[in-house]
Amino acid sequence: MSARQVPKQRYLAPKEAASFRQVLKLYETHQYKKALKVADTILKKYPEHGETLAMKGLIMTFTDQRAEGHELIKLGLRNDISSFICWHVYGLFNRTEKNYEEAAKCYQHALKYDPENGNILRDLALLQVQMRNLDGFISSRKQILSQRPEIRQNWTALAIGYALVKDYALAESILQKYEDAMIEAAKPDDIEHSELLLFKNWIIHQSGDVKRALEDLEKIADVVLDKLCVLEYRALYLLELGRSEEAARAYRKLINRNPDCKAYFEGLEKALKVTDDVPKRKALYAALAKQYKRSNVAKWNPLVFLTGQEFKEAVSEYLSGFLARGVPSAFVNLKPLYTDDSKVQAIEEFALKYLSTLTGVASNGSSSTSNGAKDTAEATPTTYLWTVFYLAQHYSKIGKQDVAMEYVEKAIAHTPTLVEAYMVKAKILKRSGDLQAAADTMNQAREIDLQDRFVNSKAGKYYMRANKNDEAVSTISLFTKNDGAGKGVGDLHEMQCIWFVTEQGEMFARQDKIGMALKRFHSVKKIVDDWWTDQFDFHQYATRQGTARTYIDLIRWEDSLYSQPFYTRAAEDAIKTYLSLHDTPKSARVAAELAGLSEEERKRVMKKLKRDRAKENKKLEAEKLSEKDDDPLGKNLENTTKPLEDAMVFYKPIKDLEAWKWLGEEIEKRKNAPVEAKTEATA
Amino acid sequence: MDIRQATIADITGMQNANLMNLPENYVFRYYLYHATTWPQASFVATDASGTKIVGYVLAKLEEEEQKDGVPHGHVTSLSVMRTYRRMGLAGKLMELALRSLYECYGAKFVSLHVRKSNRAALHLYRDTLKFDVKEISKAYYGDGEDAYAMQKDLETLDDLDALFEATSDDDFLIEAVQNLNLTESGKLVTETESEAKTETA
Repeated sequence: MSARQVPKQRYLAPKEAASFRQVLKLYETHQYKKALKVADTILKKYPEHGETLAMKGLIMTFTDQRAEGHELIKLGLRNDISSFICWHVYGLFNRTEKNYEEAAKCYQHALKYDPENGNILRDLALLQVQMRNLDGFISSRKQILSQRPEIRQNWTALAIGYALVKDYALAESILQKYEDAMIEAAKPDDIEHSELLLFKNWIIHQSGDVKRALEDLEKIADVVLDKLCVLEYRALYLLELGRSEEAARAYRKLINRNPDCKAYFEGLEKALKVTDDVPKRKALYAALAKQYKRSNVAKWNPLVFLTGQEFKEAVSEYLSGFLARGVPSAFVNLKPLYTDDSKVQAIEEFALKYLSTLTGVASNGSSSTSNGAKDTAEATPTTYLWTVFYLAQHYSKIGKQDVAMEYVEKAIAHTPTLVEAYMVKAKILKRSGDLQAAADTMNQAREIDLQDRFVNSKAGKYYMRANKNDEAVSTISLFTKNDGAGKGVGDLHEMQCIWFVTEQGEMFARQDKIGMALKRFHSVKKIVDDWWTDQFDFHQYATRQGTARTYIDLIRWEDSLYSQPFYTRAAEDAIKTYLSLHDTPKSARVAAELAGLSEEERKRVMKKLKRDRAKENKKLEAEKLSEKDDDPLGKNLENTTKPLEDAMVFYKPIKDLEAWKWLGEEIEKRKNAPVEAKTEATA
Repeated sequence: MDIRQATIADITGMQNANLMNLPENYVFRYYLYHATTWPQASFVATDASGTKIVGYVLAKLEEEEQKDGVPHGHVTSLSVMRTYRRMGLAGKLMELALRSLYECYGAKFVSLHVRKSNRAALHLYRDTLKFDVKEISKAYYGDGEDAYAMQKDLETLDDLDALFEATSDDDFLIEAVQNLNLTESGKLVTETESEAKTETA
């Protein structure tokens, strides 16, 4: 700096210049009050000083004077447009506003006036990766690295950049260069080093050179702390290299560590080349199930590839095991097989036959059955219960709700305190279309076990399906923090409970409470938007931790964030709601309600309508989501004059997804024919 | 059913399961912090379709300045959906997490808190997983309930890989697959063998 001529507008006398440096230091150490005081002393003498004004403004944005601070920042910049400090400050401000694009522009301006400023470069790089300007990110990280090559993170960050654009050769060479130059040997418990060795190994594998990846893996295996990862990578590489026997051994080792991981079994099948050979595959699983008695996967997998008589035998053994041990989850485990009619048939036959051997148990409570069925050897009195419980779920799944109900009633008669039985009964009622009874029954289940939040959540959901908001909210509020505004609903928003917010929105939509519905759908979008911005802090953090592979996972996952059902479901709901607002504006909806009534009737209906609304609104008013929530009923959203534009806000993040193109077409159709749409609505 | 290490893509499913099951909840960021700091420590169980998270364990290395500099792990949260209980999922998830904390981070022991009234959890930790109750933390939970502070020594964990190397041979598996009529007693029961048994029984 000293070499450069200080422009007139930036000049400060030595005393004030020292004060300015003090302001910067106080800001960095979050001593905002003091910093403001010092800034004011500078401004007394130099009221137009741009950099001081900008800093003062920035600090004010941290002390609850956002608007004023913003003004000062802009004023400061105007007074000293060639100051990197002023631009940096404006960039920081935009960043806190989450206006990343503007922030990046500001940083770039700042760098024009101070090209070597490491802090600004680093901040710019963060924005670039957040906006997925990966070329920009790489070029910034290159500069940072050339300035500070002694810091390992700078190498990691650049390698991550290359890995993100899939330039694996460069990514590898960057990591290699650092390793080669490493002066100190890594400590034995250095997890960062261990992670980065695996990162490099992953890169080599990604580049397609599996052979070299395996060689590298064997070299680092002893240093790497993540033993499981080494085993997983080794098994995969061996398999890909066609070294089948070694691969089989490697997968066996993994299964020995975790005999419930499907990927390991798949790997072993491939290594032993049995995937397309049913008898061999069956023999393999028989051996594994024998060795790993606690493994569910070893028993379950054959149910998928076996057919006919073999399936019957396998499923009999599987199911009777669950029923005899009284494990309630038999049905959820077999459910995926219900896409195959012949399997459904086989399961039903077995379960009925099994039950028939148990009826003696049910009546006299003794477990001795000698009907010749070997499966019942270990049957206990509760086996009867779990068998009828299974059959209830089975018949409900295949659409025979009446039969299902008979069986679930048997379960309830046998053990009237079994929460699971009431839950299944509720589901049967729901599938039969009696949503109110379903909700009441789920609530019965809840009342048996008030400690369990799972059944509480289910009861809340069932109430909402039955359009019972009050009951739903008071139920779920039994497990939420209820100290803030909005009670349980507010807490569930804060905790990002998407299932609840979506269900409630859909309930409001069904009840024609358009404002409330839209408000909830916007809340879902807000949650997902927050998940997008949450990644920001991890660009730097993960790099520092060395957890580069996890970080790359994160970046790629975030890129698919809005295509996930938790967003698309709410987006579809919101767009449909906005389209209906467009097609039938409020005035038309009221008119439709009053059509064909006499003047007197009209008045009466209008009065009642108004009274009901007021009552309802008062109640919902209590549902403020936070103290700051100034539109708890979503009236502002409902009264929009541009529903199609609002719909676009939800559509934009999914516009490139084939599955949702039709929603975009619905919006476009209406945009392109505004006149027609209007005449239709009034007709 | 599938049990595996948790990935970034599992976080929203873990968060959902947590909100369905437990009163102590966390925002996405907190899970993300776990995942990017200790990517090996957390595990999930999925339903048979492999997509829905039905159980999870969220674990970490304790960050507080360690007494005696002894690193130790902490289980932040563990839960299994009610419809998937009694299959041993929680125990299996815990065993995997404990092993990771020990192997990757050198945790000498692991600690956790459990509600005094949660008898099923207490049974799992004390009887199945052999945790010890260290103390009772008064009013540990938001609603005022006490917690058992529990601990388990990790240095006694078996070296599974070494045991495997020492005791397991693949021959019987290879034979099982290649030669379907293998009759090695105890390890593989083949068709003919099992039929013979039921006939004589």
